Amino acid sequence: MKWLDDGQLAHLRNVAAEPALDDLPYEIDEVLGAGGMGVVYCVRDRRLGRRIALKVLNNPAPRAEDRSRMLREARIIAALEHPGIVPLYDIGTLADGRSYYTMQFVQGRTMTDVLAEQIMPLAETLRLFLKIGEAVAFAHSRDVIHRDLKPANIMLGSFGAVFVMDWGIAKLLGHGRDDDTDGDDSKHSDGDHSFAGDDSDDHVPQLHTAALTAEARDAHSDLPARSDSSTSLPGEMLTKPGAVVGTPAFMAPEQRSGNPQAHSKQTDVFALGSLLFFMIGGKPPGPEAELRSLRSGERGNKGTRVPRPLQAIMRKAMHRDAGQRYADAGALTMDIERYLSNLPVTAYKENIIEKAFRLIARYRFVAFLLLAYVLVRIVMYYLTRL
Amino acid sequence: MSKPVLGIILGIIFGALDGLSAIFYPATRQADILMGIVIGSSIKGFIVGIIVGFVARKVQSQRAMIIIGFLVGLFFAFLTSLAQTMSDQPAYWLEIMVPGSIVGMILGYATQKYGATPAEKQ
Ligand SMILES: Nc1ncnc2c1ncn2[C@@H]1O[C@H](COP(=O)(O)OP(=O)(O)O)[C@@H](O)[C@H]1O
Ligand SMILES: [Mg+2]
Repeated sequence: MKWLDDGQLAHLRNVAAEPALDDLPYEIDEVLGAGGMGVVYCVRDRRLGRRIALKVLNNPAPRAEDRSRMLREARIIAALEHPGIVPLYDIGTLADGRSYYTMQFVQGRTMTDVLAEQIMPLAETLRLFLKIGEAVAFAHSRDVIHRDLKPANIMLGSFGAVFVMDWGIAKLLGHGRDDDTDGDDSKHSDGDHSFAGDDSDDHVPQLHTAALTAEARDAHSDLPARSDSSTSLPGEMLTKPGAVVGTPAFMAPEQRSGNPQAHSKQTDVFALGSLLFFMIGGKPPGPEAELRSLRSGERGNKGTRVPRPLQAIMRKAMHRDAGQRYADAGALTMDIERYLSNLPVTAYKENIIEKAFRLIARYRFVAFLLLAYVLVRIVMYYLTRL
Repeated sequence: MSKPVLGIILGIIFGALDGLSAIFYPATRQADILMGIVIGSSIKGFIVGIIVGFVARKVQSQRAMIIIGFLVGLFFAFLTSLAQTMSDQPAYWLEIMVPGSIVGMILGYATQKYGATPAEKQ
């Protein structure tokens, strides 16, 4: 490993080693998983005797002047109280300088794992998606954006609960020095900007270093270990082996350009659109053409074509131009709700035949009764003529 | 729209249309007779609609409302036919009672499904 200097080795060790939780009242139970930005542990809180999740970020210590700003933002995230949002418990810095935060430990599986195993029927998928969308919509209504919505950040708990986690906090802590990295931010944007179809392994480190500060990024931009840990995540590779199609597909074009100022509610809307696509078809979205051929249904089956209003909703959510997308997650979920109740959706202009079928579906039972009424009348008319 | 109001409106509309279908029968094709049937049928629809609408406020089940609508519609259609025989007009038992009960079902279902539930009182 000649090409690694001491600093890089030290960093690698940091990532691999269990963190020293000296003055914290936590004992590490197990490693829950590792993502691009850090490692998540299940820890036992000695005082309260409960299990919580602790995430240690691979970033160097934040500077003092950044701390107060980070704390301010963390307070906003901590204030999010919603059944679909994993509550943030605490943030802090370890003795070795790395940032950590603790949150509710969720007993369940990530959406990545669930989708790798089975694809749900369309109606069920939409209802599940609505729960996610509502959680994000709630955050948007409080002006909080998530910034990293993807299947790995959504967990399905017991009793049908859905949790969205990692609320901007990883980026918040990791991007401690955004404000003054200036032009450097474009550095991790030199990867491929198109959808998943043509992404390959070597883009992963770039994507994940997005969370690191410029210095850290420059130092480790080609660490092989990073892409290894990422590719080994269950479910991250779903279409073809070797082609990592996890995160990039969920990033809006403006997000991929690396400008942190470009994050907006519409960035989350883009990710939600991609997520819906993923949940419906079992694979992340690729080029535009794929939307038209997207099929829902069991993997392996031919599946059924996704109805056009739903396609239009996804197309609008994933529009290249952020201004053309839904204004926020609330608007997106509203359109899905309208679709589910057979109401016209804002994203799609239906033709007269589609409208007729939608109305029949909406007033299904009444339509059935009216038909029965007419039939009865006709039958009786002929009976009396006999 | 509240359930009773929706019931009244739909009741009058469906009642009128139901009465209008008498146009297909030669015996009732004259304008004055037809007019009488349409008005009578609208009044019947109004009564069924308001009853069903108020019941839908109390009963929350959709299935129950279809059955209730059916029974209320059937009962008033029965009364109409009875009134006809008693006034020595030719009786159309089936022709009135079968469609009448279907209209009742439509009213029962529609008021429950599309009528607004008033906010819970504490
Ligand atoms: N609060 C939590 N409760 C239970 N498991 C968690 C929690 N947070 C994260 N995990 C698990 O740890 C894994 C790694 O999380 P993370 O570091 O955020 O990476 P990513 O979200 O990119 O997968 C997740 O995929 C999930 O399985
Ligand atoms: Mg995560």
